[in-house]
Amino acid sequence: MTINLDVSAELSHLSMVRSFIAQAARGFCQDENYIYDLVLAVDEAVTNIIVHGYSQVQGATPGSIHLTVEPVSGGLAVTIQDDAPWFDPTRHPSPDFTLPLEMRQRGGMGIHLVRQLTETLEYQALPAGGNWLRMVKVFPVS
Amino acid sequence: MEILVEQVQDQVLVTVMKLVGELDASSYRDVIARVQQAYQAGTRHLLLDLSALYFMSSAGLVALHNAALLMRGQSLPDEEGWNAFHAVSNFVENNAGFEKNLKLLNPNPRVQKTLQKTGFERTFAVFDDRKAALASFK
Repeated sequence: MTINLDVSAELSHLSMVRSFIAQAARGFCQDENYIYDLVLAVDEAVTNIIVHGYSQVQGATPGSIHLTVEPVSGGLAVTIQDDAPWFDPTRHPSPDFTLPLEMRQRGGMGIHLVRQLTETLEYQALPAGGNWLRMVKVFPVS
Repeated sequence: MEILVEQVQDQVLVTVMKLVGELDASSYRDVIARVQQAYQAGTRHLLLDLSALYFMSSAGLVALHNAALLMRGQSLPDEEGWNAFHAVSNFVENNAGFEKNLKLLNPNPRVQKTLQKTGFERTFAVFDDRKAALASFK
């Protein structure tokens, strides 16, 4: 069973994306902290696509983003697909607060949060163009 | 997202800005604009009331970063979009101690968790009592 949403890549649609993820997740898990964390992770990934990915594309029409929520063993998987230029957020460095200042690399807070909030993050550059990102968040132990 | 502003006279005059709703990449610039407006109107002590903010993404951290710079009297980084997000991590890494002129009030536990996970709790004093928060500005 999968639940899908197609949305145009506009910041004003982030609220719709969050509502979609929350509603889909509630069908499988009633833990509101779990749902918030999943919603936040997806919001960050979709913001990344709009702000970074599609901002490189010239044209008046916003690109599209396709979201799929599906149950997997012990959790939920959210797949996000877009037609923006290739960009692998899983290779983007996270800020490491344990290193001395001079050894730290700059990194986006958004992808740092996605990594912290989910258990698995996978990326594929689609051969025909576009990006495929899949995150899995394991249900909390009740 | 709605932004409610009031002035409170304690030991010093404090501007209390209450953020209501969801703070994301579509609304964070509104917060920066309101803080900029307040600073230009004379605000030097700012308390951001987060009690009615039920969602905040990393874009909200960009707003906090910029608000802190404004309240220090510094100009905003000339960065748009993704670069602004990078500037935030640099800001947190290089910042030592709490901001003196910008403090936070009552974030809900989920927003507080985001502040913790991104190091912002080490940058901003977070109060759960409004009276104590107001009295902390000297």
